[in-house]
Amino acid sequence: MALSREDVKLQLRDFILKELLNNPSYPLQDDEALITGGLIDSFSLAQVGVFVETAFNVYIPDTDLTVANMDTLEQMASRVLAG
Amino acid sequence: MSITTLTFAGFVLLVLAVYYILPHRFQNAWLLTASYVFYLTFTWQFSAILVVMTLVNYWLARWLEQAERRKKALLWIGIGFNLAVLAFLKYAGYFVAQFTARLNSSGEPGALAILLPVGLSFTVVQAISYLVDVSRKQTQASTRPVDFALYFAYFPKLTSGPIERARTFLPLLAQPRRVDNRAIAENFTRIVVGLVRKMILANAFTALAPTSVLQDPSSSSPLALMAWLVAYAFAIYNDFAGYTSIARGVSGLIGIELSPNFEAPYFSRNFTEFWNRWHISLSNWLRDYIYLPISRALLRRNPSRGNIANLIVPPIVTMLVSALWHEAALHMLIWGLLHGIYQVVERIPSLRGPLIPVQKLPRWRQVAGALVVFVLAALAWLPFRASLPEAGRFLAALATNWPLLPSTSWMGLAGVTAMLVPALALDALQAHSGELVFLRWPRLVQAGLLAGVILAVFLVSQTYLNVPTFVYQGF
Repeated sequence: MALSREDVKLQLRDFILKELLNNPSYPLQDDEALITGGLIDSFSLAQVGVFVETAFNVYIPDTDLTVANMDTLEQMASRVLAG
Repeated sequence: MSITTLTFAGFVLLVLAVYYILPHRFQNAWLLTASYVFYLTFTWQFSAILVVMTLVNYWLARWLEQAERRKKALLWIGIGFNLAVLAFLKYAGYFVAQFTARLNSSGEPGALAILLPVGLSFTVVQAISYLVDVSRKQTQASTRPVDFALYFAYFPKLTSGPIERARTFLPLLAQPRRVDNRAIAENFTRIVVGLVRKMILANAFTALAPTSVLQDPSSSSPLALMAWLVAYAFAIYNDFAGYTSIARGVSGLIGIELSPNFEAPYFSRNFTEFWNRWHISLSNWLRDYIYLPISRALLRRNPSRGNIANLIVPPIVTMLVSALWHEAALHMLIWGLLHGIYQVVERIPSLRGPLIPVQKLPRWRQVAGALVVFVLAALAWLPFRASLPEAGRFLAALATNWPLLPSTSWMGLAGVTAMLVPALALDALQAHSGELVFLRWPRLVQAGLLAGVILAVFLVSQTYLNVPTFVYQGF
């Protein structure tokens, strides 16, 4: 069954808040800048890459794990859905 | 041919004059010819090596793309070939030079020393990323030999980058390019800013950080040694940022936009930010082809962020590779190791609790962070510049000569402080208002500024009879 954008965002949000921000109650917005906003670092992008592999079976190449592609929850969801 | 000479200015004008009147289908061939003429001004052997590297990588990529089996083996053959060229010409050259120096009674490197092609390290990393991207199907193998040869040889970026990826650079070569008045103004500004950085700032800071201090640091006071470190930090920055600015300006006049390489790195408030602002094209390359693959491989084994290997291995290995890319020498490895350690230590707080974004920290903590980053980066420049014994003697003198403050140390400090004012002002202006802020100023101010710069560059060129070559041209 194909995942909806909301499902993807829900799982990504849960992972980011618990594993990357260590703050499950943080009110993360869909368009909030995670990397340029200083909330996560480049190692976190590697964690996102591995999480997406295991949770959605989608491989995002290292060269796509960039600020331009992955700065917000919305952008991450788009990249996951692009396959 | 140095890019700060009048000869180079004449060469660029000739290239542009012909380039602008040629139809698009001949422009790349003209640029390729010009690039090889530029490279031939160093020595003909460099051009021969570049031709071989171009042909091998062109055919390997075509083969890699069509192969259905043993793709990985082909990729490793390609990476191995490029690394072998680098290892032989760069590292073997180093060891042969050391060996012959030991044989000579004079201690000087002998005639057996192998010639190091200018810009070889830059070409090698571009070749490796091209082959990796083709193998991952992120870019197609080029079928246009002239364009591909130009990707390697393009003269504005040939000797010191920026490091461009084939998947962004080759499409720029395939499409028609338009250079309007706006582009001319912007890129002329980049060239002028680059000349200011190299000819005025870098040369002055280089003069304030003489090699003689490294040879006998005990005769300098700690204050003078600290001034030396600050001067060297700003010399290497303005030298490389100046080169990049000129290269981007020249390329912009051709209609090809090269990547930015620096964004006021000494204003960074932590080391993650520093490496996003210092030699950006190399940092991005290292992140994509070293740091992220290692991080992901480790995370697949153990997804915990706090795992000791996950914490330590990626930054340390990445910075050691960066050090080896610069030079195969123990002192350079220490430079890389220090930067790796800085990044590991910086990440520890994020293991225990939520990260506070650096821009949301109180102003005083941001300033304190920038000062700490600068001091640690400046200390790391010591093993970057000096051999280990020299660096050891320098640190010993820095720690033990207190409270000796001869009047000469105040003179050095005054000189460095005087040069820091324009250097920091230029960075602050560009960081706050954009790289091309000067174009928004009134015409009269622009004209006055340009006249001042031309006069200053002329005076400097008359004062420094031997303008030092660009530091990164040596890599």
